[in-house]
Amino acid sequence: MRGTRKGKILKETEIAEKMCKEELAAADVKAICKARGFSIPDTRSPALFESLLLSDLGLQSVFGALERVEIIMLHLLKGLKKPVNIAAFERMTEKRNNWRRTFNQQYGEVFKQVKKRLIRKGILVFATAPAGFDKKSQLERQLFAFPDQFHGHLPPLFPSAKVLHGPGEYNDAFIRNKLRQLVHPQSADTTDPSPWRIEEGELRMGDASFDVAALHRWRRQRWVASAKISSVREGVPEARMSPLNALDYAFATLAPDEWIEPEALRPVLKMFCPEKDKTNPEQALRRGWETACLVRRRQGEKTWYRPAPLFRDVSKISTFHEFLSEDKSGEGLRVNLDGIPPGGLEAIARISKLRIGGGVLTASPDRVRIGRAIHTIRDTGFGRWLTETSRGFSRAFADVLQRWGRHVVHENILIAKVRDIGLKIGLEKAFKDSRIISLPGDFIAFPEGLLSRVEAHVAGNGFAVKTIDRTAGEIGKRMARNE
Amino acid sequence: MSKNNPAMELKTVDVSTMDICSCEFDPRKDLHVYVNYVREREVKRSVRENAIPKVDARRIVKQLSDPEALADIEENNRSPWLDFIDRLALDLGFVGYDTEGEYLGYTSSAPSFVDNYIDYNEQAYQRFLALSMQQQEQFLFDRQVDGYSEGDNEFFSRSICGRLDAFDSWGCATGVVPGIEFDKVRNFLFQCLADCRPGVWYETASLVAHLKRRHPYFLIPRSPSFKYRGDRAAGRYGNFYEKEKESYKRNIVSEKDRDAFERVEGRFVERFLENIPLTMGYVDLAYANPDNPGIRPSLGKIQAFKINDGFLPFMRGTLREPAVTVLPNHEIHVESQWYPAAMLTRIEPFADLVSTDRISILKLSRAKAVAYLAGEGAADLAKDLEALTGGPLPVNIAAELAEWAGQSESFVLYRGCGLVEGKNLPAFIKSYEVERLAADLRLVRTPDILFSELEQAEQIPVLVTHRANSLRRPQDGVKSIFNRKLKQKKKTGQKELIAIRQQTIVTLFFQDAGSLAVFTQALTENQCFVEIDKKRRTVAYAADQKPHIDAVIRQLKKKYRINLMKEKA
Repeated sequence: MRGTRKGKILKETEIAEKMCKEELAAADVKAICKARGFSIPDTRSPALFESLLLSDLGLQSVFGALERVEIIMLHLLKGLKKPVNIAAFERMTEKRNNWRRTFNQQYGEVFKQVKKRLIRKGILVFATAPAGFDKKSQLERQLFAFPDQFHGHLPPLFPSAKVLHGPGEYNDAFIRNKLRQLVHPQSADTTDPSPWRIEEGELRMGDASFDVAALHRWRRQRWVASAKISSVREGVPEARMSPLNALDYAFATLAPDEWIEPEALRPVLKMFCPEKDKTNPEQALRRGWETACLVRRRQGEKTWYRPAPLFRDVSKISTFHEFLSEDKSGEGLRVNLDGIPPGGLEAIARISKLRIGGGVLTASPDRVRIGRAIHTIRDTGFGRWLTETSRGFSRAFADVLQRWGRHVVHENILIAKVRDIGLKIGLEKAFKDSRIISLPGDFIAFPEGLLSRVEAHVAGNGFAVKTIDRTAGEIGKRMARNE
Repeated sequence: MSKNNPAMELKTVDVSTMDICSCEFDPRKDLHVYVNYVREREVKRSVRENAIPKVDARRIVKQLSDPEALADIEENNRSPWLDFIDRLALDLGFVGYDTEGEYLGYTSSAPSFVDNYIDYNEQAYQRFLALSMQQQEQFLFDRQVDGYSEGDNEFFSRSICGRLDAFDSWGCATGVVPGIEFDKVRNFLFQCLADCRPGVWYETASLVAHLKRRHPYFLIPRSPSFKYRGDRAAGRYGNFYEKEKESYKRNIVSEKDRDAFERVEGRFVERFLENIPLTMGYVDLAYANPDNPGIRPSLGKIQAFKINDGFLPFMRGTLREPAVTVLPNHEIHVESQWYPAAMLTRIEPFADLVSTDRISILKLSRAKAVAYLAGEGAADLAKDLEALTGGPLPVNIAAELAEWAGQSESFVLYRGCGLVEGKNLPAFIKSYEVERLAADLRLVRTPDILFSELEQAEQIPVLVTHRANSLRRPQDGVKSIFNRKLKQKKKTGQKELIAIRQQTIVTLFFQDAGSLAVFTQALTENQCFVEIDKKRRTVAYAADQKPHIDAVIRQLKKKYRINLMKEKA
């Protein structure tokens, strides 16, 4: 088939190597040496120059002298995690000549600026990808990358971030309201993509089993839907992020006690999401707080935000009696949805059969699920509390522990009957290190990946492999059953 | 000379002074060789000529019966015999490919054949192999007899095995030729040949004379139909021109000529004999010796013909099936008039083909037989062979086949199965059980479904999903044979190893491209291969190459001044 060969895509590591070998002129090397403080004789070998360039030598002074817009640009490159072309720097330099026709005419001045402000300071690498059939100009084929080695030295995205101690204001009512919908489904929003369901005692959110990760995904979905910050709009340059990804990146740069104002996000969103329909940071953050994805602090008219902490894991919960109590029969537990943390609900749902009766959620022990999780739950605080508090769970734990490990099912394994004793011994010798084990009654077991070598060994010894395949028939039977 | 049967009074003839010709090729065998090649490989025909690529053609002709075919390929890029077999396989429907092509541009003068792969038609080929020998031969016969066109027939095309030239095909789409039903004519002539005795040389001229006397319109009807009204004036022989050897002048055969029948129908009979009958081995021919120059196309050159053994049984519908004999020395002899493709296809899975001829010889192979017996759905090989031979096998062969049947069971692999371990397994396990290895270890089908069922029965089973390349040891506390057999990895007290290889590279920096070129030239002359970077004007080499490089520098010093500055560490 005749292919449409495009230029080879360079990897980030190749870009630095190629730049040092081929792209830089003597004047560029000299300028980089001056900016980073390298000694000129050390730069005679490209490999040595590359090592020097990617070291942290002189980075502090260079980053210290960068303009704010340059720092945000480098953060964008860091967040994108892939090389970009010269068009991405239009937002930083604002030097694109829209009135000219060719790519080189439009972005020639942008490249000069990038070279002067970043490349010759030794903090940005670039290289030209090989020419393809698409006949792109050299400038169009150039790729720019911010090396990983520099990421740790990059100045903060928000130099004006405020340090405030304490957890801040969390909209717990939003999550609590969702949990209450379990027993009052009529209060649920009809547009909710993940309504509660209990199927054969299993708690499900939408199509998936309930866990805190599902709840976390749900609250982000609600944020995205209310603030309209998800998609990347068409017709905008390639090197961009969706507003949600830009916000995620921005919040990830904050230290544990740092908070930001919506206004501080404005230049970041302008650089990261260059759409015409700009995202309003005040509205986006307020919706984030309303959907319990962010926490906030208010002082006078000012509001600061940072991401809400993750839901607590059951191992960090100790007050089980506040939201779990024994039911009348003593076999199960009543769940208080006004007080239970999502991590606690996940833990109890994982080992129980749930049911709703009289507006109350009740959990009774499910031996099948307990069997799957017994070793991870038995010695935890939650496991001990259940054993001490609930007769039903205590008895179920004991039953499961007694039965566990008595029956073992092996899958992904090949079994063969070897009637020739010489062949059997030969196989065991050829595949030492327990890759083949002998079983009673002339049988051997070995992993599926060893099949071709075992077959070769058998054939090499003058025998043939007789195959009894139980797969095809069973698939047919299963399909018939499903029909 | 003697009289033949009453139906045909043909003269017999002594051919001792003539040049005898029989077909040296075996089209039946070559057809199967070609089909088997196409079945096993993807063959894409050339775009311009729609021919089999030279690489494939070379491989195929090495197995064909034409000894000259390889030389033809090397000299002319194609072999006429391979082209014949290729076309025959297409006509029989065993393979398929585009023969019309497409014109790729306004200026194209010939069609192109883009991505024209030869497709193997499994169904048609297997259907053919399932036929009896008589039916197979009839199928081949019918396809060839029925295949003709106005330009492609005995008059205007040369035979693949013959020597005779053809009439000039100019104007063959007009006149009487489009109205001639060559299939009926050929069938009629084959019936005439079927009245002859095998092994007897008959005079061709007497056959022509017989046809002139008894069947003067066997080829061109008494009142021939003309495709175009204007051709009527040219008469029944208007399509056929004779030429003097060294002249461009064309003489039209006239109906009024006394020897017109011999000059047209007689020539046709000669060319008929050296087409299908000769190519398929039904007849041998005796040519006049030496060649008689004069009028073209040649006339009376085939002086005699002889019917071969297999032809008459075929025409009578009594062609025998191949006879199979198994000898005590492991040889299987297959005796057949013609190439027994179907029989060989049945025997080759458990025997090696030694030679093919009227008696094809195969040798029973232990490895092949064991693999055959181990194959899915393999029946009793001894019984199969007895059915083929129609009698009991030699005692030693029967004993060995029984032993080999046992060996085919030496390694039985179970796929799609798993194991279940445990005492007091529930009763429903029985429906999953394939083999019972021990009281507490069973080979089971669909282990994933069994696990779910055990879980639902609150048996709290443990599922061990083994890795692709190693067996996984179950958790501690699980009662399993695998825990005993698979040793736990011993933890070593050693620290993690970091392997490093050190190499010293010396780099020479040159001041200009000219001096680098001189140095590079000297290195090449001394067969010293090092890394040269022309862009950076450097030569880099490992420390162990230093003596070699130093020798080159010493050599250059005789002609140049060399200033080697060593940088301090």
